Amino acid sequence: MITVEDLYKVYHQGKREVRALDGVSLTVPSGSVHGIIGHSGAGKSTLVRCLTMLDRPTSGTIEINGVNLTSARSNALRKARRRIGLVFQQANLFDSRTIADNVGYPLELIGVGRAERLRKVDELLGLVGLGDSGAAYPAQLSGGMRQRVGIARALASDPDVLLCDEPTSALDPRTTDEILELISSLRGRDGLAVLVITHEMHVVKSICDSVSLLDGGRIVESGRLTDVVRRLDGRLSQALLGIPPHVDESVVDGVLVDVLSTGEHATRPVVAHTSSEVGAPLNIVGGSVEHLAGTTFSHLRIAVPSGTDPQRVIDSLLSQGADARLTSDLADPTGTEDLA
Amino acid sequence: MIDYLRDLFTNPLLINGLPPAIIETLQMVGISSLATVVLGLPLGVVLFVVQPGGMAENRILHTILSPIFVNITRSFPYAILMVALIPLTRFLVGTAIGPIAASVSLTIAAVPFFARLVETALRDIHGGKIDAAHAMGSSRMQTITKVLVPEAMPTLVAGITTTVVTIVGYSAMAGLVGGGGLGRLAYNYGYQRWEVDVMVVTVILLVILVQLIQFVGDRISRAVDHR
Repeated sequence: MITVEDLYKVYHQGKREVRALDGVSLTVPSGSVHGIIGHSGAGKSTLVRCLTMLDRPTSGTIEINGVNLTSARSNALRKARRRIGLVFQQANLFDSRTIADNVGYPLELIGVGRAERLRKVDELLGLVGLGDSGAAYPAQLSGGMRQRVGIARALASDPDVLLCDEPTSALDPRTTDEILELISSLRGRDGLAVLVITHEMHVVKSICDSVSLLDGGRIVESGRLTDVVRRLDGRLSQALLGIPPHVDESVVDGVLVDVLSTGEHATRPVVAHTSSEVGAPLNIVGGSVEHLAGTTFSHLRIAVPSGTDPQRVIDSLLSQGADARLTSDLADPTGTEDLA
Repeated sequence: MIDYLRDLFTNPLLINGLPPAIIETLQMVGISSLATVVLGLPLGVVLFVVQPGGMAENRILHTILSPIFVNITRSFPYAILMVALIPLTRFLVGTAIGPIAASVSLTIAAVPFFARLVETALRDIHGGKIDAAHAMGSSRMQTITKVLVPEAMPTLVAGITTTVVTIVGYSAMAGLVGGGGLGRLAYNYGYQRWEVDVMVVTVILLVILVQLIQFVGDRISRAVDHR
């Protein structure tokens, strides 16, 4: 379990004050995967560096299973850092060491004996699916394999938190899914809390139980994945379950309405039912359907022809358990398109 | 041609002068190379860690070491440094004559040069690796000995090779003021007494020595390179 409270990081560029982190608070319970998503410049890198104390936050606290990281100094800090396993975008393995010695590095630091180290390294390499690559050097492995080694190394000190910084951003789509599957499988390993920092919505959709949107150094939206998706006007919902931007709304005659249905409602013909109820043809102009955390979500944008009262359409949809709003009432989801 | 070679191999100057000169050169180069690596590697590491924004930023130490000690020592022409260091050499070795005495000035000239090469080699290491070392809870010393130096090893070996070759060049100069070795042989007999054969043979030997050092250095550098 990791708890972050009121984290600030303020830089000074000449006379200008830059608030890279502007009061970030979050909690990731053991056994769950939490995603932090934001586009470049949102403060993701700063957050990672502060969480690992590579940079000292200006104020605020970071606690891991009750151990305060922010007040620790030198020896205590080095010890506390072992509670967080950090996975980098570019695995950052040591080229001069074999794979086995890379994974064993955190154990070497604390003086674990050779036999015990080898046993642990074997177990971890088996866990990440690289059981027979121990003697190879990082340069001999593919990007995906290097990232597996990076994950094994991060787990070597039996951390309470696995912090993944853009773990798949340097990988191709297929390797990305393999790595995500691996990270997802670590959920619940000895009460591990996983925190994934990314700019890829795909990562959040695939493995996260909960998600926070970081923007301008603040967490502007946060919650369980299945909850944030339901908020029709939420930025995370727009990004996770957005209408493709290429829908040309200018050619549509009538008024646009957004419909969001979840679970079993998402599989029912709600629009067809409403269409016959109000006695008007409803045209679906765009939509997306996603299966997230075991639940189906459907977000459709429909055109209500002129002459039909859109409120009647909305009422009919609401009565069927779907959420519906006039598209023009939804907040402009600026800045989330590049997240999707 | 055969007569020429026979003359060459029976030339008393070469038969009597060459073996001790070779030994003296190897002594000078060997002692000062070893001392340079032993002193220059830590100095280079310190230059790297105390630099502004470094792992153990220290402005005062950086100023004393980088612009003052390293740059000033490196600006001295070796011929002048060599003479200027005679009192120190006398104090350390007891004499200013001979290959061991010459090693003092050779080492002092080579240490700042090698330290700069070490510093540059360490700067080439991707910052992410140093972050990784810190994030895993390495102490500064562990980061230096377990990550920085091993990761820079191929470049460090190349730097040692360059330094040893430079020392070979300087050692010929050191020979002139009492260091002995091939440099003095070439100068005294070859240049001053117009014994062209002696000059040619010593120069060829120096060329072979340099080629050999470069060859071995490249081999080792490649062997330790896993990038």
